[in-house]
Amino acid sequence: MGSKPIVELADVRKVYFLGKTEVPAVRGVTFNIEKGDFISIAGPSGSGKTTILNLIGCVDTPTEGKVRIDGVETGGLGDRQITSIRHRMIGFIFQTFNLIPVLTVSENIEFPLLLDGGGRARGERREWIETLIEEVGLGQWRKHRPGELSGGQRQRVAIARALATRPRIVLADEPTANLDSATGQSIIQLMKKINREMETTFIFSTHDPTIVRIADHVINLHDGTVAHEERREANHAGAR
Amino acid sequence: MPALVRLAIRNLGVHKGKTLIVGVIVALGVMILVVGSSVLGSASRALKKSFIDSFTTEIVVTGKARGIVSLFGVAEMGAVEGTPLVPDFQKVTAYLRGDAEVRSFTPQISGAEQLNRAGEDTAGGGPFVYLFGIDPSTYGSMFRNARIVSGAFLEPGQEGILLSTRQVEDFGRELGDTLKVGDKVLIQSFGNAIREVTLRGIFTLQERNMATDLIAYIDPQSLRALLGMASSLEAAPALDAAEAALLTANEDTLFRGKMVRVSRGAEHLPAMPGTGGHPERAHADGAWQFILVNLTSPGNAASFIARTNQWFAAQGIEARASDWRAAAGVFAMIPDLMGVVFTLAVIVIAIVAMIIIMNTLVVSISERTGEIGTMRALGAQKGFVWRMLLTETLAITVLFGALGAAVGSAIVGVLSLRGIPASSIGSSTLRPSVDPSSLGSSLFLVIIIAVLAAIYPVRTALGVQPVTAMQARAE
Repeated sequence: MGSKPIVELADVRKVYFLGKTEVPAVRGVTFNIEKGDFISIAGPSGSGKTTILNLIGCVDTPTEGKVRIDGVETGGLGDRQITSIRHRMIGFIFQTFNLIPVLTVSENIEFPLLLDGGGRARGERREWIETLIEEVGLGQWRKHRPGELSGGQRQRVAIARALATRPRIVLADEPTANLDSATGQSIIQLMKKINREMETTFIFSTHDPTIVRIADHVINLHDGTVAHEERREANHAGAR
Repeated sequence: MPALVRLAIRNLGVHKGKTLIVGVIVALGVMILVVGSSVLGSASRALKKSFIDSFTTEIVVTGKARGIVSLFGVAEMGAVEGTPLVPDFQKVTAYLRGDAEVRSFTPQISGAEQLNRAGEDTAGGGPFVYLFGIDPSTYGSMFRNARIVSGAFLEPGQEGILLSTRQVEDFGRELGDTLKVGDKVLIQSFGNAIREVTLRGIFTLQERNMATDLIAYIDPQSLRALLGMASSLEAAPALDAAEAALLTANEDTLFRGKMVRVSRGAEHLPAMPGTGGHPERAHADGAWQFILVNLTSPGNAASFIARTNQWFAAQGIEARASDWRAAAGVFAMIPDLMGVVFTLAVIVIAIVAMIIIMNTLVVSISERTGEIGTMRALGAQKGFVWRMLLTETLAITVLFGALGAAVGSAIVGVLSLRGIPASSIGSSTLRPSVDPSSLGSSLFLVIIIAVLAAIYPVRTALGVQPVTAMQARAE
């Protein structure tokens, strides 16, 4: 791709402490992610997938090494700055959907836009939310609350919410883990469609080989290190 | 509706149990505050009116003292101070006469004395009374609280005492004598002076309060003599033969060994505060301790006091104008004490309420760490979380506070219709009314309590890390 990587990890290490016991979760990981990538962080349980996503998502900090998001090193930033980076640049799709139960589909998708005081004009905001609702195929569910939706529908809401602020990166931690395989496939296909249409970088973790196959770029982790990295340019053409 | 308010109200609906716990506490708190402050406020107003109507008037002019001069003595911490005379009495009364705001005024002296039966057997003693030495020509027209049921009101210049029916009953119960108009009553002062006066009338009180039950009326000359204020000019003609004989008599021969001393007033004049040690001057100035003043517009009392005190200062007169509170002395502190007790109760309730609200909010927030973590992960600054939780707390407080205020107002309405027996504060029945400012201040106070109670739980919430969202369970 040639341009500056959207995500850079350089010799990143992360150690957790269980009492006085050190538990290394990531042991010197280095890789770059290009803008517009549709990348899978794969590996078995305990390989460090979620830790890597947390570090890229700026919800956790490395014990050693550097994490750069769009050229900005996140290590020395304060809470306000790091929160602002999360808000402006990163969308999150959680394994457990994490929708706000008291808000409707439409309100959940709009929520990230209200965090900066609803900077955009109300009309423009509403139009964008409607676009996202239609994009994820939930037009008839816009007034429903999460409790009235299926797992797949909830994850579609989460995808739309992750895109609300037009982030450069969308992180998805095991987005299909709580879904049946057919629904999981449709969710990944939806993510890939959006990746192509909006040129948003999608980074998702999974241990499901059928999901991994859809990715353009796969980083396989094992015991906190990169065991294998693979780029599949063919998937770009296939998706188009 | 703003998103935060919408979010807050819906969250309250979802967490009904906790909302109800906090809400009921808030509603009860506001209700107690509204009812308590309404009843206390009404009682305080009733007491003020009763005091002003029955014995203090709106303004009292006194001589200056280190302590607060009241009709019941001088209140000073750690010292005993005599009640000063109003200096330059003639000049002061001339000033009052010339002030268009003054409707009427009357001079007064007062002292605590003990009643006893007249005659030789003076052992023991009867009821204690607070004697008001009054000017009958002006006092009766300013205070109409005492209704004569036997005998007559004092005439100007007439020697004598007026007692209430209750004081007569106390006298009979303690001394076994039934007093009738025309009987002699012996009055013993705490300075060991005694004086025999004629009971001229018996009165009942139209309006009673804790102070009026103590008050009896006496001619000023007799009271001055008891207080040691009488001048040689005025005391000499007042002595009858028996009294004159007392001046030269030996105590032992008079009282056969019983230790009773006669008033020294007729033969020796002690220095009185405010007179510069010249009792004749005190007499010339009127020898009054108080001037009770009624205004044409009672609402102007504060400005009248300020203006009059400025005039005193400009004239170099060591006098002071004060309001009814100063005149009523310790009795005026009763509503304040009631207020203090109520405030202490409110503080205790507030602390308990704060602890319950705080615990409830902590539990609520611990159940919402996933939600808060998700918001933080999505880019919510700590300020947003703070505003969201504060909005929820305020929404509960305002909604349930309004409910509590409504219920409290309804209770006050019922109390007003039914009436509260309140004979001791000058009103046979107290009918409280809701003061709109107390409604506002009650709500404000409860809001402050709720916000204070929310500080610790909110700090807990602000400590929730965004990574918590990654560990949340499926909703």
